Amino acid sequence: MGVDRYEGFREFLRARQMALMRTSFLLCGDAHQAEEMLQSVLVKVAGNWRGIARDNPEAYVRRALVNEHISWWRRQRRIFAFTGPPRTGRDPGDESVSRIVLWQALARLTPRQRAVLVLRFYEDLSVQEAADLLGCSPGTVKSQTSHALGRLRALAPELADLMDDSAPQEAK
Amino acid sequence: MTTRMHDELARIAACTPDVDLADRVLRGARRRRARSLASAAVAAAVTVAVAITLTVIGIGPKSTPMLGAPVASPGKGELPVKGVGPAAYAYYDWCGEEITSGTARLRGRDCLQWRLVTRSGERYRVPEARAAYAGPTENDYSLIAPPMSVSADGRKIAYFSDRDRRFAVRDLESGVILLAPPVVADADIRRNAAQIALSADGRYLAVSVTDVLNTLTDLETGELTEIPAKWTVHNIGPGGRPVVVGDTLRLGLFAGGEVTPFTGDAWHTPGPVSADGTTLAYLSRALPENGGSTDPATADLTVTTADAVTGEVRTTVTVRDLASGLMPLGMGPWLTTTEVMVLARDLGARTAGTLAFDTYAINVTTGRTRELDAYSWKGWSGGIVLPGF
Repeated sequence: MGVDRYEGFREFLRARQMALMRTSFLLCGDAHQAEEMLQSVLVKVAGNWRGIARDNPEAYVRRALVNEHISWWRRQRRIFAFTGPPRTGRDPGDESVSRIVLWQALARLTPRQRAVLVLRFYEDLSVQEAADLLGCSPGTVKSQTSHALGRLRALAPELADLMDDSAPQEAK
Repeated sequence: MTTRMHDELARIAACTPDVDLADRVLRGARRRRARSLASAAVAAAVTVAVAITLTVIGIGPKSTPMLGAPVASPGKGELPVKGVGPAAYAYYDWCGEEITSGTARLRGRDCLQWRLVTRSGERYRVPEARAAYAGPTENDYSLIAPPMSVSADGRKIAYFSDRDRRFAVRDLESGVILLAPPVVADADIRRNAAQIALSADGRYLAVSVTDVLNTLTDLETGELTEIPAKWTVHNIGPGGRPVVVGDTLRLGLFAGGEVTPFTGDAWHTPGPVSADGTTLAYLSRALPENGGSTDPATADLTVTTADAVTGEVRTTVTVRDLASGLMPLGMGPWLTTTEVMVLARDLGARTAGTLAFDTYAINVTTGRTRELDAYSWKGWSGGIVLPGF
């Protein structure tokens, strides 16, 4: 019997797929697209699993997910895929106004701006970690974060509290 | 780092539906590996003496048009076999229902199908065209329907023929159906975002399915031409020239088996050739100097005209009068010698449960725009196709 080229992959998925799915969802803003995007990335990861598994597979998948997200965003403009804003999920009683406003504002950011916010403020990555993942300099991460927050401020002034709370983190 | 931003993002993320991708991913990985091995085997068997300039792979004299058969007896509300007037637009809407909680309930329903609206107002379902896929389980779906295209005169439609497993072009009046020869496997058409481009006269059809095929077919002769990897056909002029292609950030002209890029890196939205066949138009937004992505909407949008043979720029002007939140989705036919149609969506005017698109005329000499038509219907997801786009 040959070596199982997918050894450990199923376990990795079982443990981390929901966390990755949540990141994918925040990146693209649509549950169906998030799932397709993640599936597409994971199929490629599975093909090279033995090499990827030696290092940090989750970081690899997140990097690939961000790249896939940017690529999807470009393609979308040609294939006309559209979705509505998020509806109540598991917590219908907890749909705050700021969540809806934030969601709508996020949809108007560029894919890199959105990615940098997700990585910095949801994944809690440092500037250096985000830069490593995005394949750019820490300075670019800082400027993208600043631009993203500035755009959110312009798009949704009612989220000022959220921005003020987040702004000091940009320098770290 | 715990901030309110983190908390709000975490609440949004908590809306993510549960998934179990293990089986699907492993099946996909095995298919991918099998295809890769098969391709390698074929490549090894093919002689390396084939001239690299030979790109016509259907080969001339023996090529013949491939005919599709019409639907035997269309049901009520379905596209008749022939005698249909020019199309005004086609669309699909996932039955107008919210799909964020799964799609299984929509499986097999007629309302998933592409619908065609004629200039005189008739509405038909097009069951022969592959529709958006909703599988037996909530997690088995493909968000985007295989594409449809309508020729500039509205008389022909291109779609993925469910029965033939090939892309087809149907003449609405005569009912004649011509097929692009390559067969596309179900799994590929479902998984990959296929792109098609139909020439202004409906004679040429380009089909691109990621990692599977990238071809241009002369439907009247059956001649099949391979498009170089990484380039996708966006527009084909009447008579098959010019063929405008694009990679991620550039546009090029395809001729003689080779692509000649005629733009630098930017976000480009290419349009068709002018009626006299001499001029191309395209929209562009520059990439920011810091390497990040540019704004998705219309800030600093320019419209450029270029020679249809050489790609040499003739004019470039900044587009004016468009709302800042508008996102251009495609360029369509020339309305006059100076005005080109653009389809756009106002990202700032999203209304839950409604899909809305607008068309504009852009004057390529002044950059001034005027609104033409608004398209709006109930739905959470879907798409629209206009003639000549």
